[in-house]
Amino acid sequence: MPIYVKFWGTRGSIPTPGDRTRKYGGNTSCVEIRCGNHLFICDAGSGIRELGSDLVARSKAPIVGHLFFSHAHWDHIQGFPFFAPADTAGNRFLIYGAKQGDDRFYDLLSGQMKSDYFPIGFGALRAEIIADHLDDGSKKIGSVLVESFPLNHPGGCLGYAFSSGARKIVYATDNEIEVLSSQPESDGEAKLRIVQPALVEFVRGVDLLIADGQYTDLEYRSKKGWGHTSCLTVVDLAVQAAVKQLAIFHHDPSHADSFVDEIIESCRSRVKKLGSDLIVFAAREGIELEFREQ
Amino acid sequence: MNKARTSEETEHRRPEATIETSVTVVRVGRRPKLPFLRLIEGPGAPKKFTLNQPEMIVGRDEKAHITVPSANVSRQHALIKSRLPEVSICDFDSRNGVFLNGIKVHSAVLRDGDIIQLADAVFEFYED
Repeated sequence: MPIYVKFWGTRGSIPTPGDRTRKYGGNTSCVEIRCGNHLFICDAGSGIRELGSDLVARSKAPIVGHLFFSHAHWDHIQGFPFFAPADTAGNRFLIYGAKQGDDRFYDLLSGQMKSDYFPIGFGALRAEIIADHLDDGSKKIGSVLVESFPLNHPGGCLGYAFSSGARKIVYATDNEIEVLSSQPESDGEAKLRIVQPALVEFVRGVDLLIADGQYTDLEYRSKKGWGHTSCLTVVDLAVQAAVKQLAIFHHDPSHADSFVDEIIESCRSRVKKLGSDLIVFAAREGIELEFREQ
Repeated sequence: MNKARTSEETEHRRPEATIETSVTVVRVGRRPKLPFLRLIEGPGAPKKFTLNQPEMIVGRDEKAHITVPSANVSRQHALIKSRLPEVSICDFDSRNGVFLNGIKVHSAVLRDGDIIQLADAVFEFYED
């Protein structure tokens, strides 16, 4: 059964509409993953509003969706109050914690709809919204195995893997990758940055890695500890893990489309220097990828 | 002289003038610009295809709205949907796939300057 991945929001930190971001989009994090009848939604940034409109337009039967949150920073939850299918009777959405008793995301979603923040209360939503959980970090939903993995971000963050048959997609945004060792580069030759082995194993051989690559190397030097990564370090992670395709995600709000293009060029140049055949591209609103059974 | 006027024309009589005259004002409406594809490489290039219908099929089939005479292009290779100002492309389960700026996609909203490759046919997309 093929897996479909569609980007609805690819921007980091804050929605950034306008001509400068028209190509890659200004909506914050939201990715739709479909496999058979199962709908998975990664994060509810402002991109989830358009996803909601599209789901209403294309779905005849009541909508059932499984929502996975990387973390509860604003740019990952702010779109939920505007997600129209959540206010339609008969629809059902499950919000997953990492383990039993972990209702943090459910509580934070309902909290952001308190009357001080939003006119409609969480309890007034007409869809059935259920707090669910992974069983110690994994769960089979239909034919899809969902697994979580801790990422390095202030306040904590989770990455998720979605596997069906031989196909595997990883969503790992808001992650400051720790570089364990790297040799200085010389004569234009890139030296691989060695990163956390457990992270390499989590993404090993995946068909698509959607990963935070918000900064350039230069930007990262002044933003250490902010919980995001240099795009070149993400490339090195993907190369070490023999990832097939890497989608650079969580674009910095100050980066215009032309700058994102430059970032991708630098990533491709590094892939070439490392002698890898990794495919790198910038996650872009409105693009849908298909991963067929091999 | 009586002349049939279009809905875009209005006549203004000027009885105050020494010699009675009338002025016909014609509203020159700008024709909406339509997005288009330019075939820049492959069989039949160069050629321009205006996207003037809500749904247009690109393929090898002579009945396709945009025909590409290449054995590597499927009969019905891709569907272009225009919901202006948004234009999108969707792979029609083709043999060789749809590539957007070098990346294989199932579907995509198109942006000015995008390069679309269907087998050996390469198009550039223009929003207007």
